[in-house]
Amino acid sequence: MLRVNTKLIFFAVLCSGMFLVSCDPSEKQGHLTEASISNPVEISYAKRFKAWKKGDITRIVVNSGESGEQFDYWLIPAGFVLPDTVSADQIIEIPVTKWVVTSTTHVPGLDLLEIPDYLVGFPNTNYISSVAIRSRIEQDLVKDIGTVNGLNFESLVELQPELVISYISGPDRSQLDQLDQSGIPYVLNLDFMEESPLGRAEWIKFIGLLSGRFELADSIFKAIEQDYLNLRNLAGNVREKPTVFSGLLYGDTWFAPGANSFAAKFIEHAGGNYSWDDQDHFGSVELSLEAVFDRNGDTEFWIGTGDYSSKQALAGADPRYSHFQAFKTDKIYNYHGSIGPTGGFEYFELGGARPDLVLADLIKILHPDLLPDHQLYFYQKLD
Amino acid sequence: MTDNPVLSTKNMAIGYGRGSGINRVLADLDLEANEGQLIAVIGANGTGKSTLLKSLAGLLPLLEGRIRLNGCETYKLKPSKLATLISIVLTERIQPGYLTVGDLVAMGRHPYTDWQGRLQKQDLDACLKALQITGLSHMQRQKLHTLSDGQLQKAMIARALAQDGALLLLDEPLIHLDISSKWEIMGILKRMTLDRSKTVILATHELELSLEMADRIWLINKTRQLITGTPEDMVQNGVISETFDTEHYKFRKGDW
Amino acid sequence: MKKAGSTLLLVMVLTLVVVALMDILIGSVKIPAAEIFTILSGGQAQNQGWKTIILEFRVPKLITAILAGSGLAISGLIMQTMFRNPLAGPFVLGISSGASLGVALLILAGSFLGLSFSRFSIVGNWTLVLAAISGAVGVLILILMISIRVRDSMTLLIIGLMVGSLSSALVSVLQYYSEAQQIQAFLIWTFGNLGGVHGQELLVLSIAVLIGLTGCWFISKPLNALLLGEAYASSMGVNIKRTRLMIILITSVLAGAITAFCGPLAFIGIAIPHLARIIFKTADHRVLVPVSILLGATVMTLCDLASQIPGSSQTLPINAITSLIGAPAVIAILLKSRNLSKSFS
Repeated sequence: MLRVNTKLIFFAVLCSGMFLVSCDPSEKQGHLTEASISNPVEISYAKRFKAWKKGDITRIVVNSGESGEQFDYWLIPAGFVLPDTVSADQIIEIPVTKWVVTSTTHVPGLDLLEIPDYLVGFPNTNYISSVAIRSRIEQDLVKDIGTVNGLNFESLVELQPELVISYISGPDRSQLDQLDQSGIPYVLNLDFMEESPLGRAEWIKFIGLLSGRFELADSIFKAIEQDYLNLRNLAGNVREKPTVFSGLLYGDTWFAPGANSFAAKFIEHAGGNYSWDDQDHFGSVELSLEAVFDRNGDTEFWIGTGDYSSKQALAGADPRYSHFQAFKTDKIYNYHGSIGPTGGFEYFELGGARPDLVLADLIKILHPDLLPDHQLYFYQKLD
Repeated sequence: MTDNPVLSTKNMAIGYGRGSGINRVLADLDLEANEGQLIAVIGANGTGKSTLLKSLAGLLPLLEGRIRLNGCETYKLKPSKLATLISIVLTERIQPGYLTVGDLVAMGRHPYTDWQGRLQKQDLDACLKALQITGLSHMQRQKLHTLSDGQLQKAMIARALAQDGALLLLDEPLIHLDISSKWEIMGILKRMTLDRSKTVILATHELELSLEMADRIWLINKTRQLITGTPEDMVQNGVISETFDTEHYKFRKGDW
Repeated sequence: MKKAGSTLLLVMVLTLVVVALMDILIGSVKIPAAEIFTILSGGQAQNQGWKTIILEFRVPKLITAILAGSGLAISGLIMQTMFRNPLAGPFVLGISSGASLGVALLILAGSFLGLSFSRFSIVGNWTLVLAAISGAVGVLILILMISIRVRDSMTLLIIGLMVGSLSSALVSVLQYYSEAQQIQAFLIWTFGNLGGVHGQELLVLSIAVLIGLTGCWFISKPLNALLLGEAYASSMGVNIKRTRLMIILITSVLAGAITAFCGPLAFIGIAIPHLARIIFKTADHRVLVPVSILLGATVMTLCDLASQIPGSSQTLPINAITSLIGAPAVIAILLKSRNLSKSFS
């Protein structure tokens, strides 16, 4: 008789214990605060986002830099409910498998992580060069949801994606307001605000976290990083650094990349000497033609000529270009080397994600003997 | 006074508009003006005095009929030729624009000067004469905007005089002037017909002056008929009284 | 008055020469004067880059400034005379708006027509010039057709302004449907640019402006007659229809060509004739035409000089300068001479 009672009591205790443990979710989630998501995800170069993990939950904070705005995203597994103690700008169920992205720079991430079929919509699909996605566009699996001024919100809502990747530039928040109204979750990808090439490439981890493929993203990034650093070292050892200038004339003003711009950094990393490194700017600087000609009339290399892909086009636009030495000796290069079937420059799409390729191209241009086997991919000489 | 009509019209109809919107002001006009005549066109407001003058000057196209100047049909004449035959003074105010009296009068020589507008001796003489007649010789260098209304009107007449046409048409030249200026200008016009054998046709409200000074009257009555005659005739047969609702009208011919 | 007039004229010519020289001497790159004179006289330059800057950049720019300034001033003058309106200028007939529309169609709608997948591209210069000229000629033909049917110049003026507004509205619509980069490219065109005209283009511009200026000189007499209004002018033997046609054509050639090559340059056309009248106190076109030519050339060159912000590597767009400097200057002069009614009642 006693043996049966003991078993019963033990069983009851066990049950109530289990009951207590499993049926008090608030107790468990009371521990869930910002502070408790404490395992940082390793982000080495990117400055515009940070991430932490705890178990199945990830928190990403995207910041816009100077304006101080922050965006708090919580990534949770399906079915999970976040407590009220957590204030999040967006709560996203991962993995996301039905995406809309809004910039071609968001596309390579999908390709590299082998999930091109996750993309269901994009504004102005003509810009996309990626082969895999182009074929989906042809098959009408990726809808063009663009208008002249941005997204066509009605088409977007009809599509009902799980997530929209958007971005902000400048103070205009009207697109975001409309996204809020549409009820579709969205996150901001601010890769273009990064100030270092590797920082921009590191945003593949952002896509990785959202798609549940972080490990793959991490290893891909490590490979890109390694490649980049190797190339940079290679170029760092050269004795002579040829001088490079960049930019174009609009009206009577020459717009050149500033000293802190990507273009300048790439050139320096490629073993070149960027001519206007005294203009401390992230964006472009406006210079007078005379000043540019005075400094760069004899400069060896001219890299980056916007939409002009031939010397004839350059001279046709403004005959003064033909006075530059780089023009006369045929040392002008531009990033029109790879153009998609509908006219998109692949440089703008893939260049951010593959800085190693960009750097290799530039090294090939400036120091061809360092990379004898490399073929120019993004860049091409103007003929 | 001779009998060669300087101006003659036949079946002339004047007015505005085209097609279905035509507004005939006056019609069936067979008029004649002789050398050395001073003709006053009078009538109530809105009866078409201005229209008549502008039509005679060639500024308004005729609805019907034709005009002859010195025997020539006007529509056959080139504008530059026509300009040597007719000169005008209108009611339009001109913009002074830094012009001097001398500049304004010299403009009258436009039909005669070369493509650069250079004034030859005969042009300068004509200008000086015109200034003399109008009593403005001492004001040649004065800017137009400094002139009184009367002086400005005289300057406009001087310009028309310098143009030296056989026919001078004036539309309400006496408006806005004080009484002495009115007499002065009528005097100038009368002298021009006597001394220089010019033919002057002026449209005016000034009934008294017209009856005093004009050689002929062209009167437009209330039923839009144009009646011509000497001032004496017009008064005596009561047309004046009828048109202007006045009592028996007396006048005195002046000695000039 | 004649003596004072010719001295004044001489002073103006000298001023133009001085200002022109300054425009060559001063720029954002410092080049010693001695060098400049050597280069200009065909001698050997110390620095090849300097030679290029002087001969290929500064000199063509100076010539463009002189042509544009004088051309716009003259067409402003004849517009003000024809319409007897002090606010008239080379663009009241809508010519410049037509040119802008042509350029807007090219830059903004170009992508629709598959002309270029541009982000920033200002398509080859000659294409741009042709687009501007086509727009200007289109408006011109419209205006001419209307001018034949319309007796009264005031009506023509209003219609010209309306056509101008219409063109501007169409440009706005095009902008609405364009991307940021295209709008920026178009915006830059509207800032005006004296530096982009070289070689063949400069030749064509020179011919166009010279035709315009010569034409004006030949119609000085009827222009003077028009000062009294069309009725009086007609009574003095002026063929009003033909004169009006000439004036419209001259303005279109001048305003159209200059806008096509340099973008829409503001203000000079309206202000210079007033300055000329006030300085010489005359309305005689035989004086005003050469004076406006000189004055227009001088002022435009001065503005070009100012836009280069000597010593700095920055520049300002020419349109900003012409308005910033010009407007207050005209206001000052007008206040000094008390009012405009002496030249226009």
